[in-house]
Amino acid sequence: MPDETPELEPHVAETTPEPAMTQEPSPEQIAVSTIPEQFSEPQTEESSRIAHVTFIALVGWLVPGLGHLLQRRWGRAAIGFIAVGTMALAGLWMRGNVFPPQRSDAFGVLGFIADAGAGIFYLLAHTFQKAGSDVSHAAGDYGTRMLATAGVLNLLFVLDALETSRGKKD
Amino acid sequence: MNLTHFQTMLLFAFVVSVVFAFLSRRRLGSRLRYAVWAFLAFLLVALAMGWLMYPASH
Repeated sequence: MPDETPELEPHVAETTPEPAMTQEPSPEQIAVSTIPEQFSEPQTEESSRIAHVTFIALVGWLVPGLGHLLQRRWGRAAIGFIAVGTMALAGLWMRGNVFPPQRSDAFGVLGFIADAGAGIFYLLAHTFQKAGSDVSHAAGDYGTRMLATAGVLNLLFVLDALETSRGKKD
Repeated sequence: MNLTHFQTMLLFAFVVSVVFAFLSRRRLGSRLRYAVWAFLAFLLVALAMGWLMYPASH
C-alpha cells in the first residue's frame, strides 16, 4: 500500500489551481487548452453539413432537379426538371389559377404552398402566362390542379435530394 | 392549350407514374415496371370511378 501514495501526489498537484498567472504555461496546460478546439471540429463538420443540406434543399426547390444534379444523380435530376416543368407549363397554358401568398383562406394557403413548391415555375408564372388565370372553363380548373401537382412533385424531389445528401438513400 | 378531361388525366397519370418510379425504384427495369403499373392503376381507377359516378349525372 505505501507504493500507491506517491502516485496520488502528482495527480493532486495537477488538479490544484496554480495561482501564479504570470508563469509560462506548462505543456500540460497547453494540451488542456487545445481540447475545446478538438471538440469543436465535429461541431464545425456538423454545421457545414447542415449548411450543405440546406443549400441542396433551397436550390432543389428553386430549380427542380438541381438538388439531384449537384449530387450527380443525373436521371432523377432530368426527370425532376422535365416532369415538374411539364406539369407547371401545362397548368399555366391551361390558364390555371396561381395562388398568391395569403392567410385569409385555408384552401388558399394550401394552394399557395402547393403552387410555390414549383420554385422557378411559380416565380415566373406571370411571365409564362401573361393572360392570367381563367377558371371559368374546365381547362382552367384542370390547369389549377396541374400547377399544384407540379409543386407537390417538386417538394417530393426536394425531400428525396435531402435524404440522398444526408446519406439515408442511394 | 385545350386538353380534354381524359387527355389531362393521361398526362397527369403518365408524369406522376414516371416520377414515382424514379423516386422509389433504383434499377431501370424495376422503374419501368413500376411506372407502367402505376400508370395503369391511375387509368383503371379513374375509369372505374367515372363509371361509378355516371348514374348520378343522369
